[in-house]
Amino acid sequence: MIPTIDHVAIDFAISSFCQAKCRSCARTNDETGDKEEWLVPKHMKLETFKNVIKNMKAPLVAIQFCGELGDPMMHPQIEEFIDVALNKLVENKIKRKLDDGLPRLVISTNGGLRDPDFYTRIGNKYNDNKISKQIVDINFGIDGMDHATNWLYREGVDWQRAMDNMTAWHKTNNHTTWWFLIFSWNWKQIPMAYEYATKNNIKIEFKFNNRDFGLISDQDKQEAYEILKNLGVDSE
Amino acid sequence: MSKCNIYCSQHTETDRDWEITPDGRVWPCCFYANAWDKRLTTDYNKFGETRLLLNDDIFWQLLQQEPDFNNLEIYSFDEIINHPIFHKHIYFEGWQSENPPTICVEECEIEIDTLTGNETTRAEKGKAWSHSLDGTPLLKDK
Repeated sequence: MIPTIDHVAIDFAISSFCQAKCRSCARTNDETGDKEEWLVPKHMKLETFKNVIKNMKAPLVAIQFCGELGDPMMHPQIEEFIDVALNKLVENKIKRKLDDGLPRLVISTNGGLRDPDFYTRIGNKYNDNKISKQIVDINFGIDGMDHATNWLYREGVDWQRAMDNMTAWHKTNNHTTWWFLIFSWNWKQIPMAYEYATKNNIKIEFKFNNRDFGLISDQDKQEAYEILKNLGVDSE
Repeated sequence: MSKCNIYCSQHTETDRDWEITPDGRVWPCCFYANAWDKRLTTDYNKFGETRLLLNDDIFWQLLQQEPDFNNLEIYSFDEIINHPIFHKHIYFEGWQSENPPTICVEECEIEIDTLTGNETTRAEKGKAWSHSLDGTPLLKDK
């Protein structure tokens, strides 16, 4: 007998295309910085997505556009994906009377694709609906307070564009999360990033990179822990 | 008796999280999706997930016998997630068996973190010390 499940969440890897050359990403050759030869980049068919969303009976409460090898904002039909996802989740929220922050649509991007006009336009569109506004959250992966620092990992990403896009989206009063990966080269920027985020009321998440490229030393990690503690960050 | 002690944040008794790759295949988590994505590489030392997938006799046998078992072009999402592999092998019954899924063991077997002394898993290590201003947990970062 198949057990009853209360909540189902799906991460749709809608694209394996990306403009960035992050060295510890599986799509990037860590020596050359080029795309790995074995990878044939692909966009998910919108029809595949629509069929899943339309026909599924499982209790869907969360959709994520993240994936492993690409950036969802590379997909030429990203806006339609978001529209379909939001319609379904809004319908589920009303039908199932979900609370506790559910359902959710989380989109993860390096931020450097598209432009502030795009983010302002879609932000205002989703902001129109009181329910959809509660559901959608864009995560921006930005690992520094300047272009050069962010480029050390996120090679190929225009830092200023990423910050402008994040700001444009946030100004539409939709949920925004800034993901700051901590490397050997950027941990001293934690207070600056925290201050900027707090000042602008942007939610910020710090996470230690645990891959070899740019891995922080144990000694620096301890200091970084202290910085986070002093900022009031709890540990698990 | 279980050979291992697995903590999976993606699949609990009440919640199940899935990943769908761009080619329309359903996977139980990013580690399986990664293993699939990297199957065309020949360097399994560099891409450990694929090697682990090859070493999972039960899962590998399924891929040989039913190569489209998780293909959304062929089956519906509900049909796929109700496949026995996702109930008998990659779920509690499999984790507690004598032959647990190799990827689950590698990524999600509970261990003690050398720095903090807390119980953790390889998969969870990157999540510890994450911080949100309102405390809301996220599904996954990029």
